Amino acid sequence: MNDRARTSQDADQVMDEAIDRALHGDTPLVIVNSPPGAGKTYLVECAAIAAAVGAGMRVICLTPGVVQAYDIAERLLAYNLPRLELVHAKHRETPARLSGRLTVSNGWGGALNNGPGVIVANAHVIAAYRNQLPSGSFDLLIVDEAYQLAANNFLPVADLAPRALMVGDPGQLPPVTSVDTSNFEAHAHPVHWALPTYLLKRFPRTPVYSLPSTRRLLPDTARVVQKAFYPDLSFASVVDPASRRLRFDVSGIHARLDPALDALASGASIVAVVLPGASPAHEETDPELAAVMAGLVERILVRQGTWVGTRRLGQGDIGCIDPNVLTGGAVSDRLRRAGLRDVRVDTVERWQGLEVPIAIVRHPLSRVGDPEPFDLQAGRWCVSLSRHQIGCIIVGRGSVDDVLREYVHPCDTAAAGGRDDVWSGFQAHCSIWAELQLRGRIFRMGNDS
Amino acid sequence: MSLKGATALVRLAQNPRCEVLGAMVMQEGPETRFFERVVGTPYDREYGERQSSKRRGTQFERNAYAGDARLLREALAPMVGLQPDDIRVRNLLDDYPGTKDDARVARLRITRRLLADSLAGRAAPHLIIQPQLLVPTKPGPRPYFFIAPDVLVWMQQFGLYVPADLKSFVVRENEVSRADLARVRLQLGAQSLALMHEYDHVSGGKTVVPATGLLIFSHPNGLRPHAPRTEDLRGAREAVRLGIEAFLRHRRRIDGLRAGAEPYTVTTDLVPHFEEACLAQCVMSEWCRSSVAGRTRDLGDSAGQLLGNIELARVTGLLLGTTMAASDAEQAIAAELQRIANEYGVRAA
Amino acid sequence: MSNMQDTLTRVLARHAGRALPIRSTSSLSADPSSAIGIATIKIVTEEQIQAIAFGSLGRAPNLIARLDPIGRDVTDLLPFARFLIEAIEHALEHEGELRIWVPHGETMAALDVLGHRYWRNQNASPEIVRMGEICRILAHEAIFAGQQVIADSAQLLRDHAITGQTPIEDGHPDAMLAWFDRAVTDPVTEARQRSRFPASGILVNTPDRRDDDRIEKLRKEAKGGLTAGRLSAVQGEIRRVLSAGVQREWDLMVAARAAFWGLGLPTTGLDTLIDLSRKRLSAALMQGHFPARRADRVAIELDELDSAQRVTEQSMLEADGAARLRAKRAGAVIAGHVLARNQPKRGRHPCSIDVETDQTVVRTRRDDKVVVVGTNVSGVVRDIAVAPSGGIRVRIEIMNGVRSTATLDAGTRIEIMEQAGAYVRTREFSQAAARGVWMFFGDTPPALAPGTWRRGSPLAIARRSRRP
Repeated sequence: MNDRARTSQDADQVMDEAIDRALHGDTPLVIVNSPPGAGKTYLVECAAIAAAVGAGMRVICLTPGVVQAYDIAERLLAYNLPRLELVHAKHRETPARLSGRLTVSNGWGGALNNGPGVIVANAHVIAAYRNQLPSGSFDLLIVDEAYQLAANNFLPVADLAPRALMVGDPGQLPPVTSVDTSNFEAHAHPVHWALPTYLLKRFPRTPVYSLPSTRRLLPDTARVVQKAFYPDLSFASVVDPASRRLRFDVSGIHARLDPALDALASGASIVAVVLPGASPAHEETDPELAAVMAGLVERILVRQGTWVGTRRLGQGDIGCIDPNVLTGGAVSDRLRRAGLRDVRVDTVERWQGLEVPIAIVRHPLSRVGDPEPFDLQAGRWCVSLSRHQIGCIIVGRGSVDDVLREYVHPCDTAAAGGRDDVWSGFQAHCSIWAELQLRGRIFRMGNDS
Repeated sequence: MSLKGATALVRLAQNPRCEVLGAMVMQEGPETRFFERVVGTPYDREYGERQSSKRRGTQFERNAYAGDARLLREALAPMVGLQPDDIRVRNLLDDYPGTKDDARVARLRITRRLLADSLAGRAAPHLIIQPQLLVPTKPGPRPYFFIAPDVLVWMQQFGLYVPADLKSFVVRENEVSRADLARVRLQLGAQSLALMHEYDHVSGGKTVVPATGLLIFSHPNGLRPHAPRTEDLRGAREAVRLGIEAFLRHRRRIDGLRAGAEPYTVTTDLVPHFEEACLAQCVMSEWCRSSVAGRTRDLGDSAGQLLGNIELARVTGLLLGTTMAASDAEQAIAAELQRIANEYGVRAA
Repeated sequence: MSNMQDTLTRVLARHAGRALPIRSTSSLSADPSSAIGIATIKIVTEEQIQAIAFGSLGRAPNLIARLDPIGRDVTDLLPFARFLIEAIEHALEHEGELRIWVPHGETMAALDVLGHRYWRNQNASPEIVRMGEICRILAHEAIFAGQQVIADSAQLLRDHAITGQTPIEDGHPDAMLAWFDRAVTDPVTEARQRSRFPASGILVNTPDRRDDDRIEKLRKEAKGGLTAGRLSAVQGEIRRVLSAGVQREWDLMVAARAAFWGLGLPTTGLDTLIDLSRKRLSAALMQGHFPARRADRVAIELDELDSAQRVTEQSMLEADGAARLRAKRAGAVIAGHVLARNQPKRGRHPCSIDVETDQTVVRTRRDDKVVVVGTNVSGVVRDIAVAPSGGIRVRIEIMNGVRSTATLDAGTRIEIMEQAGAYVRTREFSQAAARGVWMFFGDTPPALAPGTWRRGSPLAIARRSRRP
């Protein structure tokens, strides 16, 4: 048995143990930490099925947002369940792909949750109907993407079941809050924290399982991402690089952009394209950089990029990730003008939970001025670099080197008693950039670009 | 107040590129004296700690250390992992009080012995009050920085000591100003680096000192210590380390220029690195600011970065149309300036 | 405002020699006639107030100079306590109407610490205890976005105008004021000179005017056995220095207030914020202040803060065209025209409109609740698609305002933004607390009896359940 198979088996074993403990153990709470692409939603599916089918339980799967609830519901349709129900808010319309395929309720209805089966919903909507749901209405409560759910949003629903299984990725963006939470950072109840983080602070002996592998990230991406963002979670890739090969049926002739694409085709899963100089200070966006990002998309399609053994890549197989709405808008604009309307361009927040064969990522430090905490946040960079199944092309300015070299950490970005995520992010930036440099994965465009 | 010890390292960490700061650290005597000698006039702004602050700081510490540090033992018991009554305390000021160098050296020796005892599993205090540590920067003037945390706390989580500082300013819930947070974290960072040096000294480099420190603030009522905040010092420690590196570079250059004269004598040959933050904390800020007078950096760091530290007169010329734009960027700036000026009814081109 | 716009406006302000407003509306509603002011001088790091100026605006303030602020005797604070209590009683009689001007945020911090010291002090008189509680309530209200009670004059100036100096220099209220004073011909130099003396609620302590150290010395002297004459002289000097210090703070506040209102910004679109602020204040004054300690209370407070933030942002976007323009560029506001109205029965449900915009950035998503700016029309986004013209087309199902003709007719230009949710989950969180949910209110997890249902590999069970 090779390493990949062994690690896969280990992952299955961890999943089995975690689910078994959650369903049948003597602890009311089990947490599973999952690196990107480890199959956590698969774990959620299996847990729900094993509970409903294998143990005759009434299960509720909760998610931070409604989109994730729709995704889980769709995946559960692939199974024979005694009952599968989706609950969403009154004003929502059922997505076409789910319509007519399962019971959907706008708001909580009395006819729901009869006997073994699964209900899928986002936390907010169930909280709104708690007066109709006494404690223990369910036998098992599963939380998917638990690190994206703030503890306060879970509080109203925490006792819906005596057993809870929480699954999530600790390296990604923490729950978003618009208010200043400094005063709560040293509080006994920092309920603005991600749910598992809050619970582990309160109950450090909670059993925590860690999935040891990623099924999305190729080995060389996994190494970079694990080292930079998951110091406490060791994992390896179980992806066979042979199954994720990129081939271009048209040779590269574009001296500026094609070398990076050729590097992807030869097996490098993260590369960078660097434009000279700095972002123009007088512009809100960087039109040149936006043009390069759009240009890379065009080149992939023009060169007939193909996922070997799977399909010719289309617009839907390429995604652009931009931390900033305005600069992302400039990329969208370019793509639209080139007739490429189906390439998804979005912020990091909206890319969470998604994957795409090729990701083109704007380097967040390609900006004028000193980096802000937003630019350096570790989770944001982690999400950006862990969406791709085949290849990721970081596009940035040469000033990134200067920023990394000259950065003076202000030491005031975390509240008293808080963890310094900005420093973690800076270190991740440094280590990843150094790795790319060492491996010759940075392709610098000349001044005539 | 002269720039020495952790205070000097904190300032260097915050502005490592400033050679004038390097000269101030090298120079003996108070900063205000440095100002007078360079500028030629007395420093006319407030500087140094007020009597009222000194009084409170002293009182806070006295309270914290009273009764064999009873309040501290209670506050730190969760970190040490023992009941307060089981925590052993050693106050080195009882042995060698004062700030003279020989007292510091004596306390340094004791501290090293206690660290060695602790590593060897021999009985050692859980709290060492007023320990003495050192960061070497020899050879050259200022060959070392004496660093004195208020307390070294043995943390059960690590099986090692970490530095802890008592800060007498009042914290209600968790509000600490960003400027204060940065400063106290850098102080702890300097202490943590110094602790690393001392552990290296006693263990031959085998000890990995966690990048953790403790901050103990004061409650609004009386002088009771708050529950300690555990501080993540990774960034602060690195910032101090870079500050020290910068100091060594500045020192080499200054030594090369001064040829034995006092460091302040070569200040005009040094390259300042004026930043907005200097205005809030450095006696030389207005003097260094003259290096950017009439330039966009005089309007702040952001202005300097965005407009490239060009002359303000040039920017005004673009606004008034009396200066030709020399690039696309300047053209865009001119257009935007004129648009904004029209909105405000300010005279433009 | 982008960094570049901020910088260029700053350049312009430097060139013009005056501060320039950066908002088109005020974030603060008009002062009620009962508006009052408070200024304080504290002992640095001690955070003890040693002088207070207070009173109605437009009149000379009452001054309290404390001879022994650290001592236990607080009878010297009684006039202030009574004044504050009277102001609060007036507020309660007028549905929470209260406006307190302070020079800067340090004043609120000093009042909060004063509150901390006395609100549960069993040795203090009822009036002093009530004063403490009021101070804590006021300090708590001050943290809410959009609140209308505390007018921090320095912060208001910074939020509404840009000067021609560095942002850090704007942190000094007196230096900032040099840019608002038309009589100042060289605000650059004037501001730098003014910054020599602090304007942050502490005494001056420059080499030529060591007021703070002097007071420290005089207090020490006053404690050692002095003759009656000498004691009187010492106390007189303490009072003089402190009174002059706090009068200066009061004068700064008055000048900053005048500068703020002198900007002439309209005070429209603030009714919701006024209402929320008054309700919060009234509730706190009647029920008392209870710092959040339990998980449910913290959760409620977070919701309240979040809700205030959202409502404030929405109010600002509705009222301030400049802010709306910036939000449009970021896709948070959609400006377009109604392409079509789908309403089988005029004035009735169902009703939807198609809106087309040429914006390239739109942050709205399907099922988002939105409002049409400046109207009572609200709805839910049902579809977002690229329009043939290259722009973006948004379909909105109208939930409220189906009778609106002007807004919903084809051709109308409208602006749409996300509807701010103002709901605070007090009931949900309180009920969870009443149930004693272990994860948030327990000390240890409950032990469960191991399950007795059939076991087997969960993954295998799942695989077997997969549809072919």
